[in-house]
This record gives sequence, structure tokens and C-alpha cells, in this order.
Amino acid sequence: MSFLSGEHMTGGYGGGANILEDCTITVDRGEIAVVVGPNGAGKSTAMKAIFGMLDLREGCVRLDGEDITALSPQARVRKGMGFVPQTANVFTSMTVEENLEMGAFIRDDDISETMAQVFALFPILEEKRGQPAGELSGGQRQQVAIGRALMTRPQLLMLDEPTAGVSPIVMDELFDRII
Amino acid sequence: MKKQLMAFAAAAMIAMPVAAQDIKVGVILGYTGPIESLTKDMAAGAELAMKEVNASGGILNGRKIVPVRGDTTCTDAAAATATTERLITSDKISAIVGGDCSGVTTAMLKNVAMAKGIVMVSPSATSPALSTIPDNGLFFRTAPSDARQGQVLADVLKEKGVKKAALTYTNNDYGKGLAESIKANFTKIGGKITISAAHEDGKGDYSAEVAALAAAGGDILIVAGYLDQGGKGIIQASLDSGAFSTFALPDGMIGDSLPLAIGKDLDGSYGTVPGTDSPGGEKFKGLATKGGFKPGPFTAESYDAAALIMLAMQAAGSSESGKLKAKVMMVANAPGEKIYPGELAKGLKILKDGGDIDYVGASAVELVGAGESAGNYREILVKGGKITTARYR
Amino acid sequence: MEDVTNAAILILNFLFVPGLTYGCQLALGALGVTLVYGILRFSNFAHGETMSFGAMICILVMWWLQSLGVSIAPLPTVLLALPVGIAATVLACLLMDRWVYRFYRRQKSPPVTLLVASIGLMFLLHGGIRFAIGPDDRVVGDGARFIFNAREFRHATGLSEGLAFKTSQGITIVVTVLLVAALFWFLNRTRAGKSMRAFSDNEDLALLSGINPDRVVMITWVLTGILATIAGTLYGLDKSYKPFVFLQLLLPIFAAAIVGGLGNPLGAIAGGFVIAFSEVSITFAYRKFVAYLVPESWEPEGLLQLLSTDYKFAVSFVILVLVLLIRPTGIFRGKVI
Repeated sequence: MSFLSGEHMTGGYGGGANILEDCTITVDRGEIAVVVGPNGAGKSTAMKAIFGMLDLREGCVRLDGEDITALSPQARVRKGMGFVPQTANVFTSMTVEENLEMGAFIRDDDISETMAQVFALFPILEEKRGQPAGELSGGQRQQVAIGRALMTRPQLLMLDEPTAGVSPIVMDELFDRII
Repeated sequence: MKKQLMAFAAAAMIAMPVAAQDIKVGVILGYTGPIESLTKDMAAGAELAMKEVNASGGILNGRKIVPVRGDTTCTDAAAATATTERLITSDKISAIVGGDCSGVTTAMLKNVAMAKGIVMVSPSATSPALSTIPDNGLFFRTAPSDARQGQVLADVLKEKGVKKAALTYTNNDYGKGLAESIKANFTKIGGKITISAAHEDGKGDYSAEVAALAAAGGDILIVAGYLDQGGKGIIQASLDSGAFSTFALPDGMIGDSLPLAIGKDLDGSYGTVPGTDSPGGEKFKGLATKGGFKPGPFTAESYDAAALIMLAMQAAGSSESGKLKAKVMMVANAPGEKIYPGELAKGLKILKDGGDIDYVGASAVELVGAGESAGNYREILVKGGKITTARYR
Repeated sequence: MEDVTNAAILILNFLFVPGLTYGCQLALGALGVTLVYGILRFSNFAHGETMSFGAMICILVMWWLQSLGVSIAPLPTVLLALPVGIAATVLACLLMDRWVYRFYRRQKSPPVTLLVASIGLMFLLHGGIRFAIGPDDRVVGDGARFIFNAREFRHATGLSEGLAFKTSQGITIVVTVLLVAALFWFLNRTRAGKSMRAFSDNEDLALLSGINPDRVVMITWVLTGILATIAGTLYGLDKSYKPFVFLQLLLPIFAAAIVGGLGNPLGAIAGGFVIAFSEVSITFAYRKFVAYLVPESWEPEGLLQLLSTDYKFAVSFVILVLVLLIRPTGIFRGKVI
């Protein structure tokens, strides 16, 4: 049994047409799965469906054997899922540190250790911790976005085009860090 | 036979109620809006006269007078017009006591009363413009024109030794007319109005208006406004900022709620308000207190307005406005037996017997010009947080 | 020299002190509007009436306290009533959200639907308030009216211009400073406050971070209720309380919020003062002021008033239009409407 499985997912936004038609994704524990496809294939939509940001009309989503289809996105975060959207993935008006704090919003324990880990992973963020995230460069923002998602110590991390709009050098560096 | 019976029954059904039909008279005042604190007692005054007549057996061989209230809002001409239209067409009123504020009264007269030929007797519309407005002889008022009050107030100012005065008025027909009259009369007798600025009613804050008035300066501030509205705000803001300490108050500003709201700082301010020391006034006060309302501003005029309408109906021998309008001046003025409040039955009897009366009423009614009161004024002085009578003019 | 001092006192008395007080009242009102816009993303037209409602409750409680003989003279009794007023207003805000706004939020209705719903609530509240307390003018202040009044000031200084400083003005300024400081501490230092800012910044991402939207909305209404009650009561204390006034007050409040940048609390405060001082200074008659500064023969004839006081509200309207045309995001870069 896979750790995450989205089975026969069909759905769209509100009362609109189906954007996703009978889509199934399964990922095992410790596995790095990649969804590849042309523009408009529904890669982002499938991710949103898994994360509960799309109204599913058919199919279900299971995490570690538990049916989470009816849960809201914030409830799925509590179940250990993390998601980095493709765009608008940082709180632009808030500082880097505050972004990370918000990432750990659901945690009631001490988050300083996790934050130190994120800073170790992305040293530039520690340097700019007091700066609003909106003032950072594209690559740095992406680091903030991933750092924010890591703050919950998720068991499952979903990245939607983490390298979009980032230069190839930064891209390499990012992937090194992520993987 | 059956048909005949039916016809007879139908005829009886139509004829019967007509014979004993009540006469409806509209009491159209601003029960909501800027002078709502006055109109309750004004209506009570008008209805007191009607009750008195009904208790004495009614007019025109026992027909009773039924008051029908309608709201003018004092400010909204459209609302007042609609109300009047409704009362005339669906309630079938024969004449109107009202309106109250000058602007809506003009609208009621122009838009409805003239078209329908209904007599209006206003107890409180005091704009000078109403003296000259074409009215087909339908419009009367038991309150004097502000042109008259302007003159009286200017005289008071002169006697108090005021040389320069700032003037602010509420931005409507009443305020504008009164302000112009005060300014013209005060300038004529050698005074100077440093500024004549309008203020809007219903604002929370009048400090900006007062700042402009203060910049112009003057010995005193004349406030031609309403005591429940901007007028009070202007006075409060003037006192707060130290811009003026004494105020001249025309009729719209006279009421017990003003010294109550402002406190002892208002002491020394003075003003004029329609009023009389004729025995009618005292009699009316007694009747009002017994009737359960306060004989406040314009209540006597309201009583007189209603009384005039009913006396004119009796004199004309008809409740139709077209007939009674010619009799209003006759019953109001000399010659004839003087009639005071509480003596309406006596007046009706004299008229019924073909005699003539001179209705003095509660406010010493003397109709001049196109049918408006010549006016009697009470000069007031605020002393010890109360409005006191200085003298009558 | 004395003339210069007189001129300065004149400006202080008629322009600066009233402007500052009015600015504080607008700023508190605009803060409420801007918070709701930032979090719930609609312009809350019922905010003026929410202020009115809070002030009304305070007045009712004040009457009760007065009838019991409770007094904290020289401070006005109404301050004692504030906690009750705040509690009632917060409750009213939460109920309005529960019964009206939440429905449309769940429907994912466009902001304009919520805006129209808020207009409906505005009329409902207004009617209810007039029904409950009546349409009359109510004097709210008791206790000492002045910290010092114009006459005392003239005596003490020997100047010909007086300067009055009302207790209500002092209270307004002090309370505003304290409240704004508390609000910014809350927004910038506490977890709940930060979560509100995060939600306002990026709603989807806030959800992805596990921030509970219902909780954020609830906190927003609590803050709005507190701000509205205090703003309404201070306005009533300084001027007088009259339900009708709060319909008019909505325009300068919205102007302040938009000029400062909708959704930006700092902007709401700046906007409040910009609008207040523009209104006061543009409609001020400078004749006496100039007369103090120039030789007697130059004394101006006219009032030197840029705009009649009748157009006071027009000033905020013109500023609003200019800002929307030239810099729609407002001074502090709020959200574009």
C-alpha cells in the first residue's frame, strides 16, 4: 500500500467543468515522484486536488492508509503534508523569519531547532532573516517558500515547479539542497 | 317591488353616512426630522381645539372634526408633497393645519393644495417668501413672517448695544429668509453683520464653521438655526473654542432643551420668539396643561390654526375649502365679539346665529397682508439655566 | 512678537487641536475598515453603524451608571461603560459574521456581494439604533469639560487669543495612542496577530501553512468591534452622539482608509490625519491669522477661506478621487481596489 494515493480523482472549481478526469497518483514512503507534462496538462491541478484545494466529485485521497478526501487544506497540513505552490508562495509583506514562523503555525513546541536546520540548509536566509520576503530575489524567495514548507517537518512535501523563473545555476543549487 | 326596495336600500346606504359625516382636517407637521421635538405638542395644540369643538357638539349641525396626522419631515419636500396628496385624495381631508417648516410648506402649497383647492393654515412656516407666493387665497398662517422677526431681533440687538455681530443660519428657506431679514434690518439701524454663513444641520462637528465665524469676529453670534440640530452644535463649539460667549437666538432656537444641553454658559444670551401677553396666551397655557401637553413654541399658533379653520367652516356654512377660504380673514379680525381659547363654542354659536366674531385666540391672531399673523414677540433672556421672559413686544 | 504668538495660538486652537482629535477618531474608524478589508476582502459599509452601535451601548450603560450615582469625575463616566460596549459590539460583529458574511464567504461570493450585504446590515443597524435610543442628539460627556478653557488661558498668558483643550480631546488623543500601540504590538509580536497579517498577505498560502481561517476571521471581528466601539464613543464624547451622523462619517473614514492604502493599518492612521487636517485647513478662514502677522493697513477684507465649510465632506471626496486616479494603492501601498 502506497503512502500517498490519489485515486480516480475527478473534479473542478465550484460548479465549473471537470478539469481533472479520472487521475490516479501513488507515491511510496521515501520515494521522489515527479509529475511531467506539457503546459495545461493539469500538473498543478492534480497537486491541488491532492491537497484539498479542488472540489473532488469522484475519487478519493488517502494518506498513510487514511481517507483524507473530506479534510480542509489546513487539516491536511496537520496530517503531515506540506505544499509549495508555484506562484505567490511567500508572504511578501512579512520578514523571512516571520514567513518561517508562519510555516510552523500548527506547531506548539519549540521551533527554533527546525528553524536552525532551515537556516543551515539555506544560509542566505539567516542573513536576510529581518528582510521582507517580497524584497528578495526569485531564487531566494523560492528558498523561503521551501523553508516555510519544511517548518512543519512534513512527512510529504509537494513542490509545484520549484524552479520556475529561477536561473539554471540557482536551480542546480536548489535541487542539490532539496534532494 | 323588490327592485324598488333594493334601490331604496342602496340610496339609504349612500345617503345615511353623508348626513352625519365627520369632517376630516389634516394636521400635517414634521413628526420626524429636525423639529420633531416641537411637533408633538404642536399637534396636540391643534387637536385640543378640535376636541373642544367636538365636545361642544361639533360644527355645521353636529358634524364632528376628525384630525388626520401626516408627516412633512420638515426637510423633504417630496415626502411632504406625497403625504399631503395622500391625505387629500384617500383620507379626503377638507383643510390642512400645516405645514411646519417653510420649505416643505411651500412645496405642499404649490404641488398639492393649490391644484386640489385645499385651504392650508400653517402654525409655524415663517419664511418671508410665503407672503408673496401666489396661493389663490388658500394659504394662511398664524405665525408671523420672519421679515417681522428680523426687525424685532435687530431692535433688541440695538438696545443691547451690539455694534458688530456674526450671523449663521441653517441652510434652508427658513434660515436664509430669517438671516436676510435680520441682516437688512440690523444694517438699516447702523449695525454691522461681519459674516453671514450657512451651516448644515445634522453634522456631528461644527468646529470648522465656528472657526470661520470666529475669524470674522463680532460682539455676539446670531444663530438662526434649530435648537435640536446645527444651532446647538454651533453654540457648543463656539463656547468650547472660546470664539463667542453670547448668542442671539431667534424662534427656532428657543426651547427648554437648549439651556439644558448647554448649561450655565448660555446665561446672558437672549432672543425673540413669537408670543403674547394677551389673556388668550395664559388661558391657552391652562388648557394645554390640563390637556396633558406642554404649551411650547408654536403650540398656541397650532391651536389657533385649527380654530380658524373650524370657525371659517361654520361662517361659510360649509366644510369645503373653496367656500371657507373667504371667511378666514373675517373670523380672525375685527369687528366682532372677541373669542379666546376655550370659547370656541361661543364663537361657533355667534356665527351660526349670523353674528360676527374677532378671533383673538391663544396667540392674539391678527391677520394682515395676504393672510398672515402680524405677530407678537416675547423677548427672552437665558438666566440661571432657564429661559425667562424679558418683555413682550 | 506677541502677534506671532497670537497667530500661532489661533492656529493651534481652531486648526491643530480639532484636526488632531478628528484625525484620531478617523484613524480608529479607518483601522477597523482596513482590517476587515485586509482579512475578509470587502469594504465594510456597516462599519460606521458598528461604531454607532458600540457608542449607543456605552451610552445606555453610562445612563445606568449615572442613575446609580457612579462617577469617576473629572473623567467622563462613559469610559467605565466601554468594556460592556466593547463586549456587546464584538458579539454583534460575530453574530453578523455568523448570520450574513459567513454564508457569502462559504459561497465564495465576489467582494461586491459582501459589500452589498454590508450596506444592508448598515441600514438594519441604523434603523435598530434609531429605534433603540431615538434619533436625538445625546450629550455623552460629563465630569470636567475642559483641561483648560479659552478664558483661563487668556488670563494666564495675557494673550488676546485663547486656547481651549477639552477633556474629551485629551482622552481621545491618549486613548488613540494607547490603542494603536496595542494593536501594532498585537499584529507584529503575537502569533495570532502574525497569522492575521499572513492571511491578509496571501490567503491560500496561509491555509497551506495550517492557519485556521475561521479563527483569523473571528479575531478580526473582535478587533473591529473593539476599535469601532472606542472610535464611536470617542467621537460621541468629543462632539455629541447622534445616530444620523455615523452615516456621514462613513465617507471620511473610507477616504482615510483608501488614502492610506486599504488593508494597511499604518496607512489607515496616516490617512486619518491626512483627511482630518485637509478638511480642517482647507475650510479654515485665515483672515484673523493673517491680520496678526501683517501691518494693520494690510489687514484683509475677505475671510481668506479657500472653501466654505459647507464643502467639508467634499474635501475628503476630492482627495479620495485624486488618490484613486494617481496612486490607487494609497500612500502605504495597500491593495488595489
